[in-house]
Amino acid sequence: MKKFFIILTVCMCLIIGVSYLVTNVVLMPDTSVTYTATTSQNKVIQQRLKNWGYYTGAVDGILGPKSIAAIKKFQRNNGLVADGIVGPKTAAKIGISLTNTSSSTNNKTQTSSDLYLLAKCVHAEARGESYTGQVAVAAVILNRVKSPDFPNTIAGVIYQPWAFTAVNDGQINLEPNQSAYNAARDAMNGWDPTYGSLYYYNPATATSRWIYSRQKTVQIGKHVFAL
Amino acid sequence: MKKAFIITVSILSCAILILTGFLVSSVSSLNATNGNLENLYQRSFYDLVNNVNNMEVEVSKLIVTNDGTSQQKSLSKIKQQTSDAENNLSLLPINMNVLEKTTRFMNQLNGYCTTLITYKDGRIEGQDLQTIENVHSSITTIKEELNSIMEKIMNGYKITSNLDNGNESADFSLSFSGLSNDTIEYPALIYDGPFADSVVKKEVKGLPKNEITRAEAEKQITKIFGEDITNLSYLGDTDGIFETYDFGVNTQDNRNYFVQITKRGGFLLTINSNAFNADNNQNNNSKNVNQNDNLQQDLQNEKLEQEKKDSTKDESEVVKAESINNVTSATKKAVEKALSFANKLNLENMECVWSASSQEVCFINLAPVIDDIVMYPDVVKVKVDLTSNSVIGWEASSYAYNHIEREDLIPQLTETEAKALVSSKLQIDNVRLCVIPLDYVGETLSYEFEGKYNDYTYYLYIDAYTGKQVRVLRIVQTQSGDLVL
Repeated sequence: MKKFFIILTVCMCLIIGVSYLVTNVVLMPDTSVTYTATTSQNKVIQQRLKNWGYYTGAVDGILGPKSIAAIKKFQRNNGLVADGIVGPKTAAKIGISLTNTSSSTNNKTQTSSDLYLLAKCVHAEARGESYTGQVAVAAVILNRVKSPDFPNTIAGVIYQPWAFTAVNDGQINLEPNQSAYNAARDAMNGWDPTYGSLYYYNPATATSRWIYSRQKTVQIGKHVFAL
Repeated sequence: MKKAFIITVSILSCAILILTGFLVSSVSSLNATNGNLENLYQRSFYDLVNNVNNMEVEVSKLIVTNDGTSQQKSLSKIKQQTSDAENNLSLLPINMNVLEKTTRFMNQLNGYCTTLITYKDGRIEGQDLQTIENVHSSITTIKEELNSIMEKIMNGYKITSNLDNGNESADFSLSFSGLSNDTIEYPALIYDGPFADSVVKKEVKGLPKNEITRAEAEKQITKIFGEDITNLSYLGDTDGIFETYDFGVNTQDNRNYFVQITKRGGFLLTINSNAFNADNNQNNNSKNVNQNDNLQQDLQNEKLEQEKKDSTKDESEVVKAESINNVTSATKKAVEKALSFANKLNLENMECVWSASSQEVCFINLAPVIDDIVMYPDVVKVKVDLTSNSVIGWEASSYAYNHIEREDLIPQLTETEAKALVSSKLQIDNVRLCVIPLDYVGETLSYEFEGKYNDYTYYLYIDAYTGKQVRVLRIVQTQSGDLVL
């Protein structure tokens, strides 16, 4: 009998523990996103410094104390300010081109953040569709940006309340795959298999009768596109 | 036994107490989140009311003033308020179908003001004044509608409790239906500027009138892809701005292409294939993707994602950084390929005007050069796979829209006269004649000056008829090619 109570207590503890975890996970959205944008460039820097005998550590793309010491040594030997930071001048000496990217950082991030957001929406909305279907979804978003009837930025269109189901249910926060990136990039470069469509819907699940009143342009996979 | 019973009860009640504690804390945190959301929505709403009120005042000022300067001032204010109003509208949780007309009105009023400021640098008169009066009456109605909603909110109406998951019949969306039904008349704004109907509904000028049959379109494709085709399937028609026959093409190198041929004149409008991996295009051309295919695609995508994370991206960037010369020669080859492809389609005299490579693809813009004049409106975009040096994408809608035989392309200004109009700060490297599209509607013959200032390359365009500067572009070099700003 005693055993039974012990088991009961353990169970209770487990239930409490699990419910604590659940409440926390539900209430705390996952915000852990890692950015590794410069890793590749760091690897090049490390490789070169290693080749020239400045650096002895691993080529891992992470600029730790060893790498920074190596960079400082390299800078001293080349008559540069030994601050351990790879700026345009140091980069030029190392033989990689940083100058343009660093002087136009703002412009570049602007474009790639749009691309990232577009790719995320394509991935969330159409990852089960063919590649053409993905380009089509990206093109609809861009057509909306251009249209007077919708917000005028990519973020404005994507986050317009209830405009996309995958934004409402949080699928938008999935990390996009390469195919979604390619589709987003193609659409930004002008590809639009739907030629001007502003809407799409899945005839199997669409609930709004209104959507059927729009002029249908093409069906790609499960999505019907409309003007 | 009794002792055991007491222990059980106390453990259970402890558990219930603790669970209730969690519940209370999560409910209160949910309430806090909801409260924040409600505040954000209300803020957007009050801002919107404010925007419309200000707009009404400024538009009425426009009507009663005769002075150009103060009219310009009012126009700038209206422009700002319309842009803010559009932004606030898009933040409010209202079904988008309800807001479409109001959003269009705000965007077009914004474009109309921009056009009045930019191109009519003087007073507002005649037809424009009439339009402004109509605009004023619409804004007054919008203002009244918003005020009645504001009264509700002032009496404790909660936006977040009336959303019904974005349903069209949600009470908050219904409150705005006064803006979309017939009680309000939005004036037609006729102008050539941002968001104008004339810009949105462009006319297709570059295609012949005769229509071809599906069989003829298929023949075209066989001609384009030649021996490489392993399978050609008809996918249906597209009835968008262009009417096309759509096909799926499989080739020997295991790629799948989506191809569109216009009904008018049988012009190759689109070719597209996923740049990343030929295998990934497995169901590129299947109109009826079934569950299994989806699953497969998902799995494949996941695999690709993994691959991407693991190596591909990093590696290719490293390669690019280390062997810039190789990449350039690959780009050169890609441009040659694109040009010969265009030639095969009887688009002659094409020249590469822009290119950018990223990872394993190169995007190339080709434009016709006729009598040494670059025809920028007729640009064709080509995507070339750098590994196999094959054309995997083709987008010729601009060509189909704009390509006509242009006559009388004779500049009124000489090159020297035009050069005198360029800022002396710009170090000019190159000059040539070109036709460029104007900002919104139409095109013009102009001189293109390529020059440098402070290490940046600029392109300056001087109208060859009027001497007006029509455009300035600055080139920003990025790892993946040149960006034009």
